[in-house]
Amino acid sequence: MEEVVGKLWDKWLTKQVSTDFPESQFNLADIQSQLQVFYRSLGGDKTKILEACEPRSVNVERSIMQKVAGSHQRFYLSWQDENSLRLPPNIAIFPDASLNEFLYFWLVALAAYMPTMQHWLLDNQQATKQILARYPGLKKQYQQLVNGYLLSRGNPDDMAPLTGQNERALQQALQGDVIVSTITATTFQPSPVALWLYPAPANSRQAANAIAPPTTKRSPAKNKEIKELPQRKKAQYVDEKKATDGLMIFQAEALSTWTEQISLDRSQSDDEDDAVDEIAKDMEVINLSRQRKASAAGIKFNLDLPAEENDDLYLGEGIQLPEWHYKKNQLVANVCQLQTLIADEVTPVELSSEQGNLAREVQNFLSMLAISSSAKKAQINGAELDVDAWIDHYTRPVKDSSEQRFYIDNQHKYRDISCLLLADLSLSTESYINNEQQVIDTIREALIIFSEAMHTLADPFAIYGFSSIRSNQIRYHILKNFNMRYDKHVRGRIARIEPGFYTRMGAAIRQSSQILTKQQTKDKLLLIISDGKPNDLDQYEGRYGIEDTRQAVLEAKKMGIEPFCITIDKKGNDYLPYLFGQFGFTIVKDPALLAKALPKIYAQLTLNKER
Amino acid sequence: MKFESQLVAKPYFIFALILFAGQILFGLLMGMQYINGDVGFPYIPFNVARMVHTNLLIVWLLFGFMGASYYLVPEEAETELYSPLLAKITFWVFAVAGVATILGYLLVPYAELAKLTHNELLPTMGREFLEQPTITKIGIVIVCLAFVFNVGMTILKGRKTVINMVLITGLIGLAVFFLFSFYNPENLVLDKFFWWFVIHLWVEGVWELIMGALLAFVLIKVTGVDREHIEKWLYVIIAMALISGLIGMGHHFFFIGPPEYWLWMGSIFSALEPVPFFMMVLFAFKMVNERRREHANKIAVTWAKGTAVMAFLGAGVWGFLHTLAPVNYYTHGSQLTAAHGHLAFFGAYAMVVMCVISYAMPIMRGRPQGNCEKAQKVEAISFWLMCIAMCSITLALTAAGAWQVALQRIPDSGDALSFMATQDELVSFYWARLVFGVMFALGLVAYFISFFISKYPEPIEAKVA
Repeated sequence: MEEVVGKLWDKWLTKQVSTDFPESQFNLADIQSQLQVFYRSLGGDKTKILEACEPRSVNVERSIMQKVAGSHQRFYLSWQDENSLRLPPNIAIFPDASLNEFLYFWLVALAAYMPTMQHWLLDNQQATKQILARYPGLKKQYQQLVNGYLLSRGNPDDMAPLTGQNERALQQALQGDVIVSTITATTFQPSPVALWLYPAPANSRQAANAIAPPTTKRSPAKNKEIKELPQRKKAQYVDEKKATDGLMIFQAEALSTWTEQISLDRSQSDDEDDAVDEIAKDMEVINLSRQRKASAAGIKFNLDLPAEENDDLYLGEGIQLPEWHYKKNQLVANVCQLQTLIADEVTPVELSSEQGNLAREVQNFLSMLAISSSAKKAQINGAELDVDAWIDHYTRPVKDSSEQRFYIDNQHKYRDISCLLLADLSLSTESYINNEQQVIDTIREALIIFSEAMHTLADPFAIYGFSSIRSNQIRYHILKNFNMRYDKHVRGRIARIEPGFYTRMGAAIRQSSQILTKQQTKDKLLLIISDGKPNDLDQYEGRYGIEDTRQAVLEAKKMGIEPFCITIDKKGNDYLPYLFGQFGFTIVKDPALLAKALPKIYAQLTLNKER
Repeated sequence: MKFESQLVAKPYFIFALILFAGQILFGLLMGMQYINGDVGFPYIPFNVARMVHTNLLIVWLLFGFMGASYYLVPEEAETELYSPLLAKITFWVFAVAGVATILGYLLVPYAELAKLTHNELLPTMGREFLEQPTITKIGIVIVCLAFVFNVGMTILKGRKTVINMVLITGLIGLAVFFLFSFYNPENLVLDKFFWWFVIHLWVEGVWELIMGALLAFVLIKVTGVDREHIEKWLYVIIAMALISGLIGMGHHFFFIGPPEYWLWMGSIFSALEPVPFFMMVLFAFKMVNERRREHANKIAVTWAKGTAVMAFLGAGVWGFLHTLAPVNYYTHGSQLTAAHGHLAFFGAYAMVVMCVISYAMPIMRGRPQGNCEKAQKVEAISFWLMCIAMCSITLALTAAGAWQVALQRIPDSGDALSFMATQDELVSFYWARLVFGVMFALGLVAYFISFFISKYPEPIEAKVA
């Protein structure tokens, strides 16, 4: 009941103080793609992504009603940094929907003309002038925009003297009559100008640089202190070290653990067909200092993980990895602990007949695409004679010795590409896709078929799986590294994958990139199979997880790796373009077809890489 | 069934259901005694019948929880049970001790039983629900500890999921809070405090964790939804259960001696107790709606939804009816309490155990896709018979309770009827209750029959033998 009353009150109050016209509201999502094109066509940075911004608090002078309603504290300010252009998610300033729409285009145009910002006030005005000078046709619409906008901003004469003075200056600047270079500092900031761009939030580097220098220069000439508009956003710091909230005792990962120290130099798995040395090439340090069977006597109590004798073999001490903190806008070093694991007690697995059929089907498809091998006629050298070419040549009246291409080349084409496949083995893969199959089953199947295909193509490839429990336990399973031969043991290892824990995707991508950069091939492809958003038990969910993953992807791209995501999450379109770019992902609609789709996707990705 | 050792759950389930049948029989007997106090006298007087009824309830639920845990934990932890042998031993110890105690109640007068078991050495007998002789209590503790140890070691050895962590927390709580039953202070108020520390912290605290975990497990299995999703729900539900349940214990402290602020604390926090139950309803229905697969064991899904709804009605709504101090002032210890107790125990705990049984038993009997259609149909009939009967019993008792309050509690002491005189006025309600009790018993019979319906031929070895 209280809730209903509260809602009614809130609705009524918000309506009283709001200056917006909700009936003519225009949403960013509706024209996002148009804006993107418009932005590029005006010469905007191609790598920048257009996104909705978050509201920022601005300390403006508020009426009593506004204070009661608690409104006008946070505003959607448009801004851009080197990665993205952020616009309000919706605009409803004008009663006329077309003006609201035009405002989006106007902001995008401003952004294209003002890739970096030196001085918030001047830059906006100058960019406006430039745009209007270059495209005089826009003038009329801009005038409409400004006139409409000034109505909504209120009369400066009704305001407190200083605020009114600033407001008048801003309004003049908007009309373009004069260039206003400074405004007076007051306790309140002038209410934000929706027609202009603002510096990126204060926690991002470039914003700090942009604002800092002029403030020192501008010393007061008059008695009034004159300075830049202080446009800062309170940076919120998150307590990084606090890994859990400790509410319940089953989150008691802080409990100390004990184990009997058994130092033996080798694991029992040593006599497996896969030499552990091979695996060791993947690792900087390898330390197999325990014997699994013996350790069964000493129980290691870890409240998160299975006991070691039931777990995969730990390789090495774990790798420290950084993580991107989007609120701090920086890469925080060594917050993630990644543990490489390998299943050591593997029963070799042969292909089942269905898998064999599917593998053959895929191989046929690949050969149809002429990837595996095809005869090229009229080559300078080759294994067979090309009689046709010789006859052609012989019958020509004028014979050019440089045209003597009489051979058929049916060698494998040379492909200089290595591929690392990273499979999400989080808990969500335990869910079902239909009455019989779980997600993990399809992943298993897909990995095996993919391996078969890769084996045929003879491209070097590796397969890893990952899951995580908070930042200190990122489990990175080796299923096949680049040095292992693809055989029944690899199949056995793939057959053994199980749903693990959660999805800390960023760390897994970083480690995969590290491994992939060590490959000597020209092209490096990082394929990621996923079934949902990045997610972990701590703050790694929602925006945090997305931003970290995006950073990891960007880092990978910088290293010359091509990341590509294959997801079975039907809602993937919501976030994957931001993570991997418009063409960096694909959604497999029917998860049951993943096994078939995966090699085809690989083939299409690498088709143009032949030489 | 993924692991061989999950099979140890089977005898637990079977024995639990046998005890359940016993509980219903004694319930029926008492239903008659409410109408005519001489039924069964002098062989089974009312006080003994009541003791047997409630004790059987607790013991069969414990058997059910243990069986459910033995089934659930290996599957969740993805490893065999730490010691199947220990589980078998504790089963027999518990079964023998339980049966001996019940026989003791029935065959020997309670005072004599106390003397026989040397209650004077460590007096713990004589409190409602905790009537067991001290030696039986010690037995229960040993069995519970062995059980928690067994399950705990399995979890430590294997995969830790939110479900088995919540479950083991509930089970440890169950074992620990039972220890309060060994302290029996002279002071009656203190005595009540420690008594509630067992009873309340069980049924409105840790048992809710067990129920949440069992429900989540069955839902994951039959709906195939994303586990990461279910876990978040589970966390919120049990957090709410603990927050409201622990301080909500104050609703037992009204008018028994503690300071007045408990009237506020108890009222406010226990008023929140329906919240986790309501969330369980939302949770169950949301999961079933978002299901990714159609499990052939449809009746298990019905039980899962049913237990959420009935627990909300019984524990949530009926609990809330008389939990506020001003209301409780009049209703304390009336038939309203009985109404709440019946629907809450059945809806929350009896049904969740039957839900797990309904899911696990067919699998343990080699039918991974559930019982045949006919068996499921009979089980569905029994589900509705039992649920409707229990709701009707609750309504009859609620009406009886309201009338009782009107006759016995509200009038000034001069005009108020005496307790026994009031009971005479309520006979018509008790008749209704008895009729629905019979209906419930029929439902239970149908439930048992459903186990023996099989279109599959019996295994060949059985025939040879």
